[in-house]
Amino acid sequence: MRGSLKFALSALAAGTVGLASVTAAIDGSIGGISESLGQWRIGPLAGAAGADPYTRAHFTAQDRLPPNSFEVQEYETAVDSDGRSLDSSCTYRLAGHMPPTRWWSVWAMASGLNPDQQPVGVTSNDVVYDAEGQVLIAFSPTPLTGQWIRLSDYGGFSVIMRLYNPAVNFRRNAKQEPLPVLARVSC
Amino acid sequence: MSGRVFWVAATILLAIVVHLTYVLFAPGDSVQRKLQAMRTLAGVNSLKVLSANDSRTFLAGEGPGLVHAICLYDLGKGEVKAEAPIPHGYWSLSIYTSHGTNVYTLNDRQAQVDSLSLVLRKANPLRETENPVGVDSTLEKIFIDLTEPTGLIVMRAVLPDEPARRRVEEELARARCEPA
Repeated sequence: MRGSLKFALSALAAGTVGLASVTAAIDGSIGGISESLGQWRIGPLAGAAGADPYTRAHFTAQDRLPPNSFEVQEYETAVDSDGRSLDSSCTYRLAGHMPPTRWWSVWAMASGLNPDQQPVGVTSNDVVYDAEGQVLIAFSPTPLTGQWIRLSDYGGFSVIMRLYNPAVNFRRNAKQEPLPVLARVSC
Repeated sequence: MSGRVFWVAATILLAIVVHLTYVLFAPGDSVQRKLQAMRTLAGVNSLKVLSANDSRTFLAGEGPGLVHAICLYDLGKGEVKAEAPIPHGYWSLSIYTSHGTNVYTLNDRQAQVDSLSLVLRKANPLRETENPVGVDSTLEKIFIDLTEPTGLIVMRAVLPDEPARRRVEEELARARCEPA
């Protein structure tokens, strides 16, 4: 009887630790599946035949097919410019020059293993640039003037920025190029 | 004391098994389920232009602003050809294996033709080439040698604005995906 109880407790603890550690590894919280560029993370091997299991799991856990990193540079962040986790009840602003690319999209997506949440976002076709050629995109649960991406009741969320067919020079020096900054405005 | 050590060791070992089982098998299983759902919608070796809702359902990771066409290929009965007139504006084609590996991607500028012609075939060790992509400039065809017999072709075109959706869908619908 005591043996059965110990086995049950052991299995429960093992399941909890195993799933928690795998979730953290897939999410990029631990381990080295991605490279950090400021607040942004990029998975250089995403989609490649040589991609490690954690990188593959990172995408498939969100029900996504990984992009070919040569064709699409995908940047993802789950934190603001001060390193705080993104919270859908807050307001954020993405500001700066977009990298040189033929076409881009930016969207918000629920974090964690939630493939049911549909992404909402903007693309280079419908964004308005300011006089200096910068973008100013607000993420907020309530409407704001200007370019606005509505945040649903995600709780935690990520912002994804996809650059399609980026300029060759940018791709070669991606780690040195400035990226837009996502900062918290209010909470 | 030794009993406690045993249970701690057993718990750690089991946690490692749970961790590795998920990482190694969940991605493949997830892709298989996605492809099965797509197969129900689009059939096999035929092209299907996705509605906005279907794009969000099946290709949510692609984000907003794109129109997609998909083809679930199955090389079990022979080669499959994919032909696509290339529309104006950003367009790209990606080939995924049944495990979600992106084996080939080409965009409109790289294609440098008005109409692209691809032949997907099983990899043959007798062809003695390490490059899975071959170009026959005489036939104006690109041959893709695939080690996995099933997978997915995704074609994507930019949607300039929502009123243009019908036009972009019609452009993608001019593509073909069928047994060679």
